[in-house]
Amino acid sequence: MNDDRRRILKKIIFSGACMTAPLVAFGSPTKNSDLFFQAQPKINSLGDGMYEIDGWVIPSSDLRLS
Amino acid sequence: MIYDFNEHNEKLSSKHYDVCICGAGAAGITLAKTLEEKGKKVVLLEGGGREYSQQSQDCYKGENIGITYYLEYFRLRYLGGTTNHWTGRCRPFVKQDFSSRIINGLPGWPIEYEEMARYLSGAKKILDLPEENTFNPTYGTAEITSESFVRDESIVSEKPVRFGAKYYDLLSQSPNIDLFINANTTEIQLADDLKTVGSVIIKTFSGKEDSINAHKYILCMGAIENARILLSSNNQIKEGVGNKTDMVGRCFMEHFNVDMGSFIAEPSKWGDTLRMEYFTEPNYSYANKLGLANVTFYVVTRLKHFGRTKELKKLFNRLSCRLGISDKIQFIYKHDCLGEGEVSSLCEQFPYKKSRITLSQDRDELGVQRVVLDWRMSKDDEKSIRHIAIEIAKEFAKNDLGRVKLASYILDKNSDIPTSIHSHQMGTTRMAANAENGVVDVNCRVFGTENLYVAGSSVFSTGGGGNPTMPIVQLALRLGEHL
Repeated sequence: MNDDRRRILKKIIFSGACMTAPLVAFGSPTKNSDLFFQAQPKINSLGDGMYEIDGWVIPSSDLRLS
Repeated sequence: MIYDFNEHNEKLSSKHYDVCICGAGAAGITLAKTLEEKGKKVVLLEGGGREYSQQSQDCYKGENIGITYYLEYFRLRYLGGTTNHWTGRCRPFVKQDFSSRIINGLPGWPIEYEEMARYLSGAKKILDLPEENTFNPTYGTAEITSESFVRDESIVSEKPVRFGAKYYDLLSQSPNIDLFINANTTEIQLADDLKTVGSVIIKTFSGKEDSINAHKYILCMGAIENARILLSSNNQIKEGVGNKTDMVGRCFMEHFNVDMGSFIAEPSKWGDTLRMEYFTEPNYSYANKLGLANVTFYVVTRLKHFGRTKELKKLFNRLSCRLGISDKIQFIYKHDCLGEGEVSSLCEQFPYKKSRITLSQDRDELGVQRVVLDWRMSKDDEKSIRHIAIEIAKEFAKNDLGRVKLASYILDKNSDIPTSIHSHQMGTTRMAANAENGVVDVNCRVFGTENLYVAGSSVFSTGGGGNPTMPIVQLALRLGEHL
């Protein structure tokens, strides 16, 4: 697995203060990372501190607000 | 002794056996062996020959009107039955399988877990399985620590028992067993009371016909064929034998083979792991009204490039994986990214009356009506599969093994969940406490009959989350003891 992909697992960036209208990316969009959500995906809480974004199941520790 | 009915000249209708067993697969041969040991005179009828033949196999063809199924491919119609190609993997029922929950309006097993468990050791011997479990479900160092999933504890035979081969000498040498190959059971004939089976009709493809007389009869023809012969024996009773409550053929079950999604692995945790198999923790499943399920994570280790455009495909592949848009261009060609994997499953199907076998007007070469299979998934099944998929994806992330991307149909409750087959047909003559909920009683006797029994996975009240061969043998041993 390349380094970009590794970063994917650790960080998701939210653009906007509100989780209902985010711009979401895995990793940093400026580094052309592997999974970059250019649309505004719906975020679903799955409970237990876990979320679903565009099918990906991630823990809250992956989330960043920007 | 073994006879080929094609070449047998003695009139069989003049003989009388203690027990007539129709079907020489795992259940039939286990029963013949058990009853022979008790001194019973047994006739064992096998429709196929010693080897595979297309003519015999074609009798399995039928019509499919539900979820796609391949009626003529996953079963085998010759001596030893489907054990001629099974993988040797077994998993016993667990205590929770016998809990008293009602799903889709139907009760579960009417017997206690212990009724099944006491035949486990005997079944292991018949199936050449180790007494101790040696199966390792994880190939590598990665591990999920969870309260809702446990490591799969299947039991796997190094060399799957082919019943026809393993027990051939026993069958050919036993003075108490008459095995007839190429003897196709085509009809159950009732006595005047319409409760007692008087004989079964057997035929060859060349048109030879005879009847077999016995005190007791056992159908061991497989989950689809057991229902078929009961329904198609409709000359005396229009709805077929044992079908007053319209339950024969209902509650056809399989294990749903659902692709739950894909994943990317966290290298520091995943390491060199190739595969992980987990099983829903039975108490968790029961508490959340879920079916039992085996969930497998496996990495995709090979890029798939074929054809004249392989260099172009390689380029596409590299770029799409790097840009994270591989799933978006799958419509161009199917490929995988290194370091990624898929999540597959084997999920229990709940009994559901609408999932059923009926008869076609079309007939096979022997004149027996073919089956129509309407395999369906209930709403409770969909709910169960979605719950399991989301939960395992959460556990995967919690353990920091990577991240799962769930398939769209897992998250969209309005979507149908596509499934394929595990070749585990079950439940068409289910066991129940009464005829309103099943076809056979706790002793596997067909309701409304005096001397007709059923063995095999068709009697499963619920399917559980494991491969069915071992419970088939356990139940056959239990029935053999009862008779």
